[in-house]
Amino acid sequence: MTDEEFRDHLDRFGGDLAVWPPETARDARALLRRSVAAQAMLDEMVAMELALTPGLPEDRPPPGLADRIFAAAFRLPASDRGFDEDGDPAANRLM
Amino acid sequence: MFMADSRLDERPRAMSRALDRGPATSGVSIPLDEEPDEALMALIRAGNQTAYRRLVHRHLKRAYALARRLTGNEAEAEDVVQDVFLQVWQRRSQWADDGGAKFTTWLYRVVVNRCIDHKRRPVSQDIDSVEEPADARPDAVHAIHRQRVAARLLDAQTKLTPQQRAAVTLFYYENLSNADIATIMQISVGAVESLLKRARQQLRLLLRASAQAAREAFDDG
Repeated sequence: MTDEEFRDHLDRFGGDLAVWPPETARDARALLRRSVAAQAMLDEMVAMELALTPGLPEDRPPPGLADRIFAAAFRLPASDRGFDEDGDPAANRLM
Repeated sequence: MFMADSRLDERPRAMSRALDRGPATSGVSIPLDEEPDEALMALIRAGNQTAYRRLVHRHLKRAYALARRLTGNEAEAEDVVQDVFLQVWQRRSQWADDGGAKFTTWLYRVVVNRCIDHKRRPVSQDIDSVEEPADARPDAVHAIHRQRVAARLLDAQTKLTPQQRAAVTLFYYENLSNADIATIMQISVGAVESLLKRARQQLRLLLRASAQAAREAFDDG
């Protein structure tokens, strides 16, 4: 594996080699033992992912949202339309 | 509507993603005193309001958090979540317990699709368009840099396409495997990998720009 191939895999699979395809991860570990450039790439990705993971503070639903949902739901008559998976409410597909 | 994959149930949001993203047969983590979602859906289909309340309370927090991260907007997230849960009650008679996708898969899929629809953008923006953070005084470079990285990452995510942002959110915040993300987004695992690859490339370049900006701010000071 070359440094460039390592970069490509790093972008595709992320900085956790444990979730890479096993053979690719094995080749990557071999490269990391001899390539300072690859080590720097991995460090950069891991640092980015560590900064990425906490992200926003815990997003709590606004107070009363559940009650508003219940109030609206129990006001409305049942519909015989199918469940709608798409962003477009007109899609009307069953799952 | 059941699937073999159980990792869409409650999972710890730990850093050790390799363990969290274990095999698809790793087992269901529903507490013993809780009825499975599908059992609640069967009751809901019969018009049981108590079951509906339990289902909503069980999933509201995660659904809202996912929508909030994907839309970046509290009001839009509330609209999406309210619409999705209303649909569960209104269309309860159409819920088919026929071995298809499980409830959590359906819930994630609908929330993601609605959010993508809300935030659809044609292409990702150029990284040069990212604005500098307002406060860059050199007397607290280290702390500010940490804040900058986090802020820039949040900002950078808004520059991704809706699909890239959805993949990143499901991978890093919801701790889902590429296979789970593919199921939710109804695309191939290869397509998920491509979305994540392009997103990581862009986020990485943005962070490099951020680091360079921090160095320049320090040198100017």
